[in-house]
Amino acid sequence: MKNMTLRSSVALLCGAILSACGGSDGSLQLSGSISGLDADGLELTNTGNGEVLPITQGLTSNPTTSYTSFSFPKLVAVDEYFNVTVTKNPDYAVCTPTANQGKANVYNAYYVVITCVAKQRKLGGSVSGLTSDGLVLANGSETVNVAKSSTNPITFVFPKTIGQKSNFGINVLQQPAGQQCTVTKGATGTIGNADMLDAIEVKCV
Amino acid sequence: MKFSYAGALVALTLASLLSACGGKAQYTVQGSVSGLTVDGLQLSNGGNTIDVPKGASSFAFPQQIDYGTEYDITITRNPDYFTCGVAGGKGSAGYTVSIGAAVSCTPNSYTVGGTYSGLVSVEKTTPTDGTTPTDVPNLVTLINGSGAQVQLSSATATSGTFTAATLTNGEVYSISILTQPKNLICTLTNQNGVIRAPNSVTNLTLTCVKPT
Repeated sequence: MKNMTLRSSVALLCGAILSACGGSDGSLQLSGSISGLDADGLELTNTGNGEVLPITQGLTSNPTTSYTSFSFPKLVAVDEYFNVTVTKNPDYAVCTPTANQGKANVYNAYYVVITCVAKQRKLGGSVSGLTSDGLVLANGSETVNVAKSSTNPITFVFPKTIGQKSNFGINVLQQPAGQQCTVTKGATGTIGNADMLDAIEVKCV
Repeated sequence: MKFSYAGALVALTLASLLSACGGKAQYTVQGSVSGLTVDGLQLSNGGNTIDVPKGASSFAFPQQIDYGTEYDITITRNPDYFTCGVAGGKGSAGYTVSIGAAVSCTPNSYTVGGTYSGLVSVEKTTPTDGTTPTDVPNLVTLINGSGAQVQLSSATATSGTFTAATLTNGEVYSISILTQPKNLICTLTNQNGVIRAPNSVTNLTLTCVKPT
């Protein structure tokens, strides 16, 4: 509370000083929340006044900005038009702003929402030496059944896509009848910036 | 507030109109349902009960109630391994234009975990200010595929229990070691299975040893 009072007084003072010099007479800190972000690369721009704000970890400029919240340092005036847009996305995700534009007032200037969703990638691989049915591979709670086939190796893809930058860990959940399969490549890893259709290799004997 | 007032007014008018004709306003005790993916939910209002089938998005008691009658919708039976709750389930018929309770159901969660041992620190800090060297925490990271991730540290304890994931009945778990600790080799047993409620999984063992 004390901090808030202090901040508002500072803001007021700033406003007074700025307007004395003919600058912005803003009193509202354009700010909001971010979800789904855990790396650098996002850049926001308020096209209303042209201010650019990179969202970087450990950025302790005044005001503090983090992966979960942001504040534009420049204050905006009541009724000043603002429009917070995403001018750069982090390379693993696409971020979308909502409740992001209008004529500024206390009901909208503090509540801009930025939602980041990781780009979805496919994960798969191949199984060699499989001569019977029943093999089930698991990536955590996601599974894929691999049936025997005339082709060797047999390729597979997990039905559910995975967000870029997520980890994965593959185990044999169920062995095929009379055979023993082991994961020989890609038992663990991280989803990169493209589909990974041959990341995993399984050998059955 | 304004809405309910208007609603009450409408209801009152309706009630008086109906009673003028010798009838009485009747209200259906009803509401919405969300998250119900299994059978087994039973609701009651007073002495009346109804079974709500899986996939339902709404419910209604067959017995209508008169204007002014109190209703109190409660859950008399949860579906197996689910917990349901009622919002706006209590009131007086006619207070709002129609009765609209909201029942929402979520699956119960069960943990996947076990015990670990041998997670020792293998190096000391090298302070330049003359203070006593301390153990550098040794870390191992477990993942449930692309889902939950947990890090165990020798600084917490060299052995103990861990939880690697929290899942619901019927879900598969498949825990992997994402990163090994320094100068130790850890192996995991019983890392695969399916959640069988009402039991949590506690039989994973993570054993870390110095390489020979």
